[in-house]
Amino acid sequence: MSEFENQLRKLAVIPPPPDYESQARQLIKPARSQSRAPTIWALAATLVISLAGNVFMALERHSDTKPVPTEIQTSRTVYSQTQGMSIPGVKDAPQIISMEYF
Amino acid sequence: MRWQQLEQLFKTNSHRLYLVAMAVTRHQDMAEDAVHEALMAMAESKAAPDNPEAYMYQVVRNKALRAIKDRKRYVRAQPETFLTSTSDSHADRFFAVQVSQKLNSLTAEQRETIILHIYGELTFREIAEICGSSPNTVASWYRRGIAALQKGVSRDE
Repeated sequence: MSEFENQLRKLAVIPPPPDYESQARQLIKPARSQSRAPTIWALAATLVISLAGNVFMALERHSDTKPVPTEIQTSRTVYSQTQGMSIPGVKDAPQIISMEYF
Repeated sequence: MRWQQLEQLFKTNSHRLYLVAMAVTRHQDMAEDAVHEALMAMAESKAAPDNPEAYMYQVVRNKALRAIKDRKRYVRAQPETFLTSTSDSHADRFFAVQVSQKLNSLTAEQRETIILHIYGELTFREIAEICGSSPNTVASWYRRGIAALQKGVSRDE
């Protein structure tokens, strides 16, 4: 090694800014969590959709078991059975139970 | 790349990585950004290089090259003085300034080789791996660079 190279070695490179290393570490950490974030969010979204679907299906089944309102139809008037009204003067009138909703 | 591996690599090479970026950009802020961008790219990369350490140096150098290319589009920034004297003598400080200025007049390859070999203590083989060249070529860059530097710098002033 020449004398000149020895002189060069006595110089030093100006050190990096004080926060150079700490910033670098902070940058790597978010990068790691970002790379995993889509998977986590996709899983969470799938779970929520699945749960919502189950709840919806349960509600549907529950609503199917509810008693269907029935009506007593006479020749002239339609009375709702739920109103608890009797058919005045017609004891033996034919009762037709409709399954339709009004 | 795994987080722990990347952190460990950075821990042991942080100063040299900065030096690689500094040799290319000759700007503190650009060098720092180049290293940070390289780390982020490596953290998000799924590649598993055979030699992660050499790969890290290559990524930093590429980011530094990209940084100066992008910057030249907008501003013609003057290189910063990045060498300093370890003593307080006026002659030593003047010598540091002279060397810094003269380094800027060398070719990019000569400058990088001198900085990495002398201040980064990297071998010609290691520098060749980073630059994608052969050790003989790197040694040649170094010799020519030192000769050119010596011509333009006087230690006695």
